[in-house]
Amino acid sequence: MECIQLKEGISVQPEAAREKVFEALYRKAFPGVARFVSKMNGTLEDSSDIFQDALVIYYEKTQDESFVLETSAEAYILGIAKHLWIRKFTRDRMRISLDITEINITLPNDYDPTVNINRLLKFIEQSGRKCMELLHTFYYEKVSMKEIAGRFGFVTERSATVQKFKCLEKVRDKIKEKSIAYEDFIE
Amino acid sequence: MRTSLNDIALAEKYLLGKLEPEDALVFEAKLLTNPVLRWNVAAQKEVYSVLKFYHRKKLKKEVQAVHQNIFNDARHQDFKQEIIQLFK
Repeated sequence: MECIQLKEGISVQPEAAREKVFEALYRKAFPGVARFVSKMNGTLEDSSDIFQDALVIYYEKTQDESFVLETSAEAYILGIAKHLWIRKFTRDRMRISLDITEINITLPNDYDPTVNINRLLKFIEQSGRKCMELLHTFYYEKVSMKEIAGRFGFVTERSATVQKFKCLEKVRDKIKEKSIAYEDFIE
Repeated sequence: MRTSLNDIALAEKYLLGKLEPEDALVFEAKLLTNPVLRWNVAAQKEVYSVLKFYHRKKLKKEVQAVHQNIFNDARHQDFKQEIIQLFK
């Protein structure tokens, strides 16, 4: 099944493998989503926007080890797209029929970042890109410490680990700095 | 590792739910009595949150690149036309 292939691909060659998977899913699942959006009187642009979000959500779901795909990938992505459409245009809810599998699909409730997160993200992207890349690789690419050490030019795995914590500290301190500036740290 | 980094490592275990229950309790007691630690841990929690959206943004960019590829590459002409037809 597709999601299993995806997971195997990921552990070997993250981005390149993902590109192939995304391209295959585009060809397979985009026509269905575009047909649906067109039926809802949406535009080509609407269909691209919805499809891209649906693809990201689908991908995130397949990364969760407890996720079981009980239908085809394209049917599941169409289901996500329908939910996204309903969320955006509540008035269309009655016009959209959902089958049992589709009813059970849930969207992440924090898909869109809050204003505060967005602001922090922009700030950190500008001032701490290198650390964000390292942390991202560490937490999201599922590669070994050894591989991270090689990719980022550390001599030992140990120094890569130390650098990971240094980066956490650096980004944390940037967040603290920003939150003083905005005086909006509520805890 | 220096102390501040060990603190971060410990806070990470706490935030990811990887501490033994008794160690988590000790950590929570420290949080209650130490405002600086509380602030640090709250900010560290935000780091993971920001990272999650950084990841999402990256994925979205990759997906958009694939979209551009498909819609601009002559090899995918038929596919592109099939989609465009739906909106005519």
